[in-house]
Amino acid sequence: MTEPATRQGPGRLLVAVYAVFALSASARSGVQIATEFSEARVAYALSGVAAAVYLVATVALVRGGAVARRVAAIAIAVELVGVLVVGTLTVVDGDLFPDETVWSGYGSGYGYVPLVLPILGLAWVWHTRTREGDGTG
Amino acid sequence: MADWVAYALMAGALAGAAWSGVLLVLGRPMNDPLFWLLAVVELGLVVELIAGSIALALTEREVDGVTFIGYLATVWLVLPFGVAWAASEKTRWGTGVLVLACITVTVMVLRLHQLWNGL
Repeated sequence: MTEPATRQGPGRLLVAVYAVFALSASARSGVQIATEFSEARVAYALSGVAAAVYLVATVALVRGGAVARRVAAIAIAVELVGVLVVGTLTVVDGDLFPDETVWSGYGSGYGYVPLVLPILGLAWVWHTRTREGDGTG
Repeated sequence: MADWVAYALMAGALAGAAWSGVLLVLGRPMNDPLFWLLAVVELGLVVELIAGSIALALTEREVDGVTFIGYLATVWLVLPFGVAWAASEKTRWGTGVLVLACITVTVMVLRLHQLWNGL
């Protein structure tokens, strides 16, 4: 039984990093939405979107079939757009998002990993595609 | 939550990260001593879950309870999932997963410690 290419080798670590972000973004947005949603609706809704994107990307990379690879690519592309747009907005106008999200300041609160991660993610989906056709599923 | 518990857990998790880091450089998978070190840290995290919940219920401190419980309820899951995920990848990438898991635990225990002390 061969495992999907997306979770082998470097993919093991990549999926683990995605899982950590899925966990932390979900927990953070869960707390925000449960306790203080009315204070900063846009920022907290955004936190929820970020959490969903990380969750979907993690699951899709773990599954790694043809459909899952496409889902992963879309989720990671959304993630890249999200970190670039939100990062730029927070740098231009700090008052726009009164509370921190994962993507604020291009992910500066997380060592800029949120900025680098989608680039690595897309590269990985692409790399495993050229190596093994359209994956194993 | 006593300070020394947090310090001991962070020391254990950092030792696990360092050990995994050495194995990563050597290109080896997890060995038995590392497994047992992580098992001891994990035991400490489960004790922390129970003791921390009781401490939170009894304390007079101003602690952000929801966030504190959020960290407490998830930190003990990191090592079991990390070890399981690393186990089937016998290359240095699997060992890298262990480094990541140990650093994640260290940061989460640090945040718990900060939350408890109102930092």
